[in-house]
Amino acid sequence: MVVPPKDIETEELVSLAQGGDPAAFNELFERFYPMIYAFCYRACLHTAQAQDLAQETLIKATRSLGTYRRDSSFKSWVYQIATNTTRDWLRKQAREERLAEAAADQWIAGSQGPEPEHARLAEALGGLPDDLRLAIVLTFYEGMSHAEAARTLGCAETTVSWRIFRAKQKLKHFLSREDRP
Amino acid sequence: MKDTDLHRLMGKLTVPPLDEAAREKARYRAAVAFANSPATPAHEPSPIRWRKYAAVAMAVLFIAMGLWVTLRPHSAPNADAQLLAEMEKLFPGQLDGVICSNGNVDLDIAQRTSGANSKQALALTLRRGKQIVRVLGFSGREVRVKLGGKLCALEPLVTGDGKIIVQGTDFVWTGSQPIHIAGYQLEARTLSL
Repeated sequence: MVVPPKDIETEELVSLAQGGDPAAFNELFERFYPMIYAFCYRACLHTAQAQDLAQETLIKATRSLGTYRRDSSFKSWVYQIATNTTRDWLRKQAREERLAEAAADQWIAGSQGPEPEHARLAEALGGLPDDLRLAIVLTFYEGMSHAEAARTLGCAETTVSWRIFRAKQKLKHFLSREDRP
Repeated sequence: MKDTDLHRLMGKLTVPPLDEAAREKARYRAAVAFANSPATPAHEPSPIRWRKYAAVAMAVLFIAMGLWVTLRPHSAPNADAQLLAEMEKLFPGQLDGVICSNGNVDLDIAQRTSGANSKQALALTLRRGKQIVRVLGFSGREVRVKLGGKLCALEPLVTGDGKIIVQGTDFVWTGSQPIHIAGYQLEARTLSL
């Protein structure tokens, strides 16, 4: 699990920001923007879109800061907003079919890495249905437990486990195909 | 392919470096949102504060239950006056009215001590079919009563010759003609404390 530095102080920063402290807010932005950008990138596999989604997530979180009641950690709360924002975008764009190709094209373009495995992996992840990909991103890349991912995705823990199982099956199948480069 | 091989491959998905321009744009827009959001401290009430709330709530509940037991069969003018006097002692200068309806007793209490010092007590009775709402209050103090789902503000006044005038949002009742408020017929009488 990706633990933000000095995580124990995050809740204090949130309290200060809720009270209108701009420095505390700025520190929260510094801590969370890179994490949320990375999450959005892995979820949508597109750099510019990830930047837009991260920005939208943090604006939404800022506007809703007063409603954060510490029922969960602040990190979980922000990830929930990020997940919903990303999911909404994925639904609106109906990009499931095109996402894989777009992701692969971006990797093949060469700016993100020389290894062909990268392109294949991006294509494989992009080819997953949104729910499966989000489950994989939250658990594998963001280090959440199945229970945490379930809370973030708003579904049962068993559903998350099943989605991860299915996602891995699909990824293995795709990546094992010999006709792929 | 084994899980370990898959994980090794998945670990190779690196995230493109952050674009500083995009980051600054996001920071600016979030800062604008922050500046436009009201400061809303969301501290959980402390246990001590909770205990205070609970104690006040329990006290009001007991008082209300006591009142209901006292008033349940029928309410005599003396009982009304006694009830009002006791409530006024509990909330001196703050009690706008005691509202009895369908076996429930509610208090209309002002946030601050009322500037009106009149101790002339009175009782308003509002009837609609079998429904009866009784309002015990003081001359010159506005009391808010829910009638037919609508919150009505009533300000009763006792004149020098002992007559009662009731002023509402859009009416003044002098007792000369029957009046219906939200379908309830209004009656009024003075009380001696």
